[in-house]
Amino acid sequence: MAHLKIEAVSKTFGAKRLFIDASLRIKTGEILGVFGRNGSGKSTLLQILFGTVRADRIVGVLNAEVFDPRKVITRQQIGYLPQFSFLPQFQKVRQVIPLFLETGELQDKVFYAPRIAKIENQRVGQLSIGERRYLELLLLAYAPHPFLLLDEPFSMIEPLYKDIIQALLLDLKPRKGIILTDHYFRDVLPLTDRNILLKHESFLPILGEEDLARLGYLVMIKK
Amino acid sequence: MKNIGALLKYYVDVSLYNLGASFIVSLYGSILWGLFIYCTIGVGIGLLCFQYFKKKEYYFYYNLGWTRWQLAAWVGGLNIIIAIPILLISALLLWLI
Repeated sequence: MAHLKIEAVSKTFGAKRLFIDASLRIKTGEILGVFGRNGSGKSTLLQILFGTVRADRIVGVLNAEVFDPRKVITRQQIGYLPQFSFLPQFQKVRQVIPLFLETGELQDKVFYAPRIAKIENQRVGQLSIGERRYLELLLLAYAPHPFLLLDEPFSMIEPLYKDIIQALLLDLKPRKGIILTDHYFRDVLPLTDRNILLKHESFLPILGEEDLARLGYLVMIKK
Repeated sequence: MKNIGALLKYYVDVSLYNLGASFIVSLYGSILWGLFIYCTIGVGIGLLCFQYFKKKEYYFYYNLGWTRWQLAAWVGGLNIIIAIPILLISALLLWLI
């Protein structure tokens, strides 16, 4: 079982303080939900963990070793699903799968996944948002990273794919530790084991919708 | 070795921009100048164009375990291997003519 424990992470942009000495932990077999208003630092937090944004300070442990964000990519310790499409837009789905996954066995798992046969001859750029997000998640699902960072996987996707993605994440859970951030809290909360809200420069633990409302997050959503 | 197919795709993508720049130089200068650009600063132009037009695709390579510097080193190294015979053949042709 892999463990990721961030004991202190701080990030400021000029005068804006996103989080100061905040902490989180996750292990494989867990899904951690991350909520927060726009600009609260959710995506920045994921990018810090992935190593593409530098923290002012980060102290942590990944599998009993000092966590070094500079080694995350080369060691394939953490996979990252950004908000935007990261797949080559002009490639067909059946070309992208072998580009991303090396072995025929892993490729077959994606080729034979539900609804992939229907889209395998389409170019990535022609897919609907739901189809694209599902394909991206499937590829990351069979990549070797023990941890996955998912930035708004439910945003703007059709209900059919919401259900499929939720089922996929639950299927993935025993093998991966997943940090999931999204404004669609009703899609996220049924999946997560623990949740945090980025507020007051800290990661506040929350138990459910009531806590989100109490801490002012839902009020912002309803506006 | 991590997925070599993806690396080759990155090389082809960067080289297409490189080819485009070299072709334009060939039109306004000469074929030799075009070849020279392709074998030298064209890689840099290709990397800048990839950064400008396909920046988001870097996350595809990050997830495969390649950093931006490793990708640039790969493209630069492979281009040197390809450039040396091109430049040698060009020099030989010039000498023969």
